Amino acid sequence: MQHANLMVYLLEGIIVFFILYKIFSARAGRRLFIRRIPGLTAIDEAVGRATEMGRPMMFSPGLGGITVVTLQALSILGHIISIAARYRARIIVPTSDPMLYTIAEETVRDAYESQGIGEIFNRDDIRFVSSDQFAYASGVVGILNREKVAGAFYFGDFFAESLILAENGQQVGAIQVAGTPQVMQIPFFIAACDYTIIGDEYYAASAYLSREPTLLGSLVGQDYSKAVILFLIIIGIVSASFLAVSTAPFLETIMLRFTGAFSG
Amino acid sequence: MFGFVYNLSFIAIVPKQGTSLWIFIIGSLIIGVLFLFLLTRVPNRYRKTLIIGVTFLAGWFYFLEFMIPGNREAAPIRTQLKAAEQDLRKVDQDLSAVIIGANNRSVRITAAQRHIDFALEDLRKAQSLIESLKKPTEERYQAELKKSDSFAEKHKLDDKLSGRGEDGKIQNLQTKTLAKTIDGLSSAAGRTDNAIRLLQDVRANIAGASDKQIPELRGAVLSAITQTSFAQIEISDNFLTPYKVPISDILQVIGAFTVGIGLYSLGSIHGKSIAKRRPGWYNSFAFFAALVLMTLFAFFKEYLPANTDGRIISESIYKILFSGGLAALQATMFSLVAFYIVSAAYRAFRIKSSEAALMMMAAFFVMIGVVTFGMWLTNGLSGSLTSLRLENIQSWIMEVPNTAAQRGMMFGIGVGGLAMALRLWLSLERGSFFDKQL
Amino acid sequence: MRFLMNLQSIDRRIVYILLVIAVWIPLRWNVIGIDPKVSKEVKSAYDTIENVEDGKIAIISVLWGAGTLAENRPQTEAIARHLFQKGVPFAILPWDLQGTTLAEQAVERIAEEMGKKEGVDWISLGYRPAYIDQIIMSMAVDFQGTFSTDRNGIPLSKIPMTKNIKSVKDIGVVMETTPSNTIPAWIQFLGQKYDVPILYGPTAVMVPEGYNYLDTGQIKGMLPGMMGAAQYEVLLEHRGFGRRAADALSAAHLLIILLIIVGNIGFFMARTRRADM
Repeated sequence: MQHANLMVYLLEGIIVFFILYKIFSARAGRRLFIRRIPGLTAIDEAVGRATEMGRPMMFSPGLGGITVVTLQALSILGHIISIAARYRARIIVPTSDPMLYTIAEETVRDAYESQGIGEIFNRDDIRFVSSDQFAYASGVVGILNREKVAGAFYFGDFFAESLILAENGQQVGAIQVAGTPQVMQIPFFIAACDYTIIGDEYYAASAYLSREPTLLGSLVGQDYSKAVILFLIIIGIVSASFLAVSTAPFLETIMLRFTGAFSG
Repeated sequence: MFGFVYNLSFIAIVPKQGTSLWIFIIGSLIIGVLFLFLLTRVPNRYRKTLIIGVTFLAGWFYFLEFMIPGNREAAPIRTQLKAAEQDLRKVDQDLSAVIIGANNRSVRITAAQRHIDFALEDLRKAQSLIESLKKPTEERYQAELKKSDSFAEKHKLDDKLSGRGEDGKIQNLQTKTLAKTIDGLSSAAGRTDNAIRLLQDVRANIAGASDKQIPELRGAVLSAITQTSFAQIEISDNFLTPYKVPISDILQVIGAFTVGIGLYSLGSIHGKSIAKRRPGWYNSFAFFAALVLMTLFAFFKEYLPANTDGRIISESIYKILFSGGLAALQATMFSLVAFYIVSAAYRAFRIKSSEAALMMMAAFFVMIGVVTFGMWLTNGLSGSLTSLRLENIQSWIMEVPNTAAQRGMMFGIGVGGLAMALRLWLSLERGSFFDKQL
Repeated sequence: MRFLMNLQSIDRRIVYILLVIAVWIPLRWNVIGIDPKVSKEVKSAYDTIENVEDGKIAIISVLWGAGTLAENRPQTEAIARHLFQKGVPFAILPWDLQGTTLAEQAVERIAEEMGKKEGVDWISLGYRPAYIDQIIMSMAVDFQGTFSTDRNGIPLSKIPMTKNIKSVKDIGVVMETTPSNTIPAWIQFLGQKYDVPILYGPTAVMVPEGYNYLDTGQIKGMLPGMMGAAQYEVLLEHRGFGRRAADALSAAHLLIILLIIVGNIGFFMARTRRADM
């Protein structure tokens, strides 16, 4: 089994430090800025339109089980519902994992109750469909078509079914917003959805939607960490290229320490 | 206390049949349900604390397992292997410099030779250390086996303990851990052996190697590096590693309970749909029919006595349901992707901005360069123009910008996931599941 | 003018029908017939099989089902044909219930055509529920004990081709045909550990990831999607489904490009018109 080495202690230490430091300073009242993410602004638009048309919305948390990715999806779901609850709009959540189903139900109920309209929560809107990939896809396609949804949201782990879902949503005329950390599926969502959240914007989504200090702070901390990683990559590239042609033993030792620290 | 735990580790591996099996199953179920029931009885004001506590503890386990270095006995071996690896990296540096044509070729080669010698020395030391550690571990394994054997005998446990491996050895946590350690040591020894062989070969040929042979030799050095670093990983289990699998199993057990809840959800939605004759209620009927038929015939084909009419008939009905129904439906769903790709591409690729134009150009080259027609179109280009052939442009796009962009995203996603995990672990996430007092 | 503007909103049913025609005509009449160029990853897969030592067997792992048949079956067939030509006996190891029958039928057909016998030149190990990691680990140490019988229930020790196959030492090459991300298991438990050459037959969507493993030498060759199979058929000098379907793929890609151009013409027309008004 692989365990941490010195470089991992250091690097993870730095990343964790940045994230926690920024979280706590944001909680202490420091104001932080994050840029506009068009896909997430569109969520308001989608909810508003669904209300006008008197049609429901659908939120799919993808095929993942209880993972960080899916929990993030549920966190986004919570925020979408709090927007929807203001208009008393209905939202259907088909899930593919029985364990996730129970948590999703709890999330939705809480979100309605926190807006003070717990009575409009309908248990049947949170559904377990199937844990089989294409059975789940056909179940969701059925919901999209039967309920004539006006807004569809796809956040979570998606695989080959991504285009099947998004293209059907497009056909029923829903406004669609998608986000997934599965890089291979992003092109399909871009082609078929109105707005797609790319890469790590996925993890920025809940911060953006809620503007909560903890999440904003975490986001800024993440950016600092990425800067550290970028810096390491640049050092690596420069020294590797430089040392291939020079024989200065001093530099060589530093360079080998550097690459060796990351291995094994 | 320890004896009790030791006893428990045997209860699970003694095979049960007939009444005792049923008692075991029902007993486990009752305990499970009771436990879940007790959880629901936790007063509201303690719930949040309980969730935070359990999350935090579970997180600590995985955190410590990853952060604590491997067992101390094998540490000297790892040091030797690490030293060898460092030396080999120097060799790799030197050879790469030779390959790209640095001007001090002979100095580089001599340096490489020296470092290979160092590495060989370290590897040989590591090898003898592995051998010397393997012996006492094997003795401990035998002793542990004897202990559990006599335990089994004393308590008249069934001779056919289901926890016996194919060699008849008892497999409880202790013996399994030791067996795994021995396995890791043997494997590390094998890898060290491989690395030594590769390096001896390189050492013999490096002096007179031509420029063309150097990349080959570097390849051998690189695989020796891989072997060495894998050998280090294989002997670095710490004291928490053996518990990783049993602890992950807990999640599976909880998951098993929720399958029932999922089925209840499906049944209630479709049941209501039929009862109220909602539009499309016959689809719900199809759901129940499929569920019942599939379950029944899957059971029959497995448990009816072999070679009876019932068994044969259920096997063929199951086959019809599976290949004729499920398989065909799945294939259909997947084939839809082909149609959707065309309609989505047609709709999405509009030159609305310069970025969209760029994306369309890339898509054009990839789509046409990957198929025979594209290859045929630019067949005439040769010499210095070869790199402008459509298939070569396509592979450049796939291998360079595509990979670069993907890796860039992966870094962001990785850090984002880490931050999310950290917030969950420390219960800083005030997302909806911790938002209000549960 | 109106006609040109309408080009940006062609009904999707028309698009679907065009696609069916574009795929069906080349498959049915084989009108174009251009052969693909052989890429280096396909060539090195070919060379790996050419260099399998005498007395060793090959394993074709089948993870696909009806869904990705069009991409994975030609790969399986091409490799099986090459192994038959070379006289390397091979075992099919299917992990997918539908794939079991589909792959067995495909190989039976080729075997009949080339006069090869089950049990001597090939066997099928029968459907294995997918505990891939465990089965790979265990077959590396004890081949016969892991599988015990072939698909017909005959013990492996009584089958001519497998009676001397004991462990990983007797396996010359492994070909993984798959629509999902299962290649790491083979690399981790067989390729890296015992230096068995691994070949990879992914679907086109999975191909970009495959280049990482090729780059590090963890897999020895790759047949990227159906085009990979077509290239392999060129090397085998055989005209199978891959080469025939390569034209269909060309036609489908050309149709997409054409539709995109047409759509953009309509889009521009509509925009100029709006600007004029």
